[in-house]
Amino acid sequence: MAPPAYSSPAGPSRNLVDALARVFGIGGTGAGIDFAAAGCLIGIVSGLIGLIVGLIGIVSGMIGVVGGVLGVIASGLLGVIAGGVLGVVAGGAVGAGAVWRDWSFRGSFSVFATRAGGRDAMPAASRLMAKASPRIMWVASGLMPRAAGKRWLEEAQSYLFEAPREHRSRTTRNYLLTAPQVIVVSWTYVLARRIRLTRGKAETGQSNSSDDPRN
Amino acid sequence: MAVRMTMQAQMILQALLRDPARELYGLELAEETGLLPGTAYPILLRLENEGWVTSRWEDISPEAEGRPRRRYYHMTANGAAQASRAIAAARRPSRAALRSLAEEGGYT
Repeated sequence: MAPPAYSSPAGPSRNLVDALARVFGIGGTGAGIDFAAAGCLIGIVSGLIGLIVGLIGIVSGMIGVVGGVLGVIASGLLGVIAGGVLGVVAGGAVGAGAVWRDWSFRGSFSVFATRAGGRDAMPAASRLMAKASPRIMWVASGLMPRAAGKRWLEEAQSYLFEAPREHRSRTTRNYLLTAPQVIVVSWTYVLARRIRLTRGKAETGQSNSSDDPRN
Repeated sequence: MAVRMTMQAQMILQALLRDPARELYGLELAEETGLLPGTAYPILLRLENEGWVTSRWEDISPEAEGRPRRRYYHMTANGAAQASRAIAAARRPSRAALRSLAEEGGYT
């Protein structure tokens, strides 16, 4: 005698299971439904969808990681370069200014004067800075576009040659303090000119191609 | 990029506008404006890029003259007209400033 068929009181409704079985083409076994086959099919389909979504996620994640790493490296490098440049120029200018003011500092700077032997040490430091300032100006001009840097340096040399002796140190300090501004302005104009030229070429190319009688 | 009408820019423009045909070099500009050349340089660079001012190197032999060549600046015709207008506009008090003056004086 066959055992009585099992029917779960909390199981899915018969209509829903039948409908699913019909959709996925699973035949019933007598009055019952092949739950295992239906579940397996649903599992495979959802698994495939999950796999595809997962793969997409991994690829986009990898792209994001690569982009992030590149971004970090690029921004770090830019930061280091910009910081270094400004540091060199500003440090040189402050140093030059400090020496040319004959070490008459207020606050923490006075420590250096005291350690260096007070005002007796000034001429040596001043000479050192006077020797260093052309080099700092040369470094600053190297940070500008080539032509702009050459012109800035040449104009500064020309002015300093003709300026009264007592004004030279103040003028050199002024040149060094405004060098970052000249760097920014000159690069801005060079880049703007390059962009204009590139756009102009692109537009000329387009107009040429449209004017071309062969088109 | 528009030229910012700072006090220094106005001083340089006024010095060049006194005689637009006259060419001035760094030391003369510094003497006329009272500005140090390092301060004047970025302003001149902007004015030149805007086409208001033009410059040229002095045509001499530095060895023969015994001094470096100078860079001469002078106003362009278009620049002189634009600079005059810009200076006049910069000097004109704003409406807000006039209103606050009127309020202070009790004229409103």
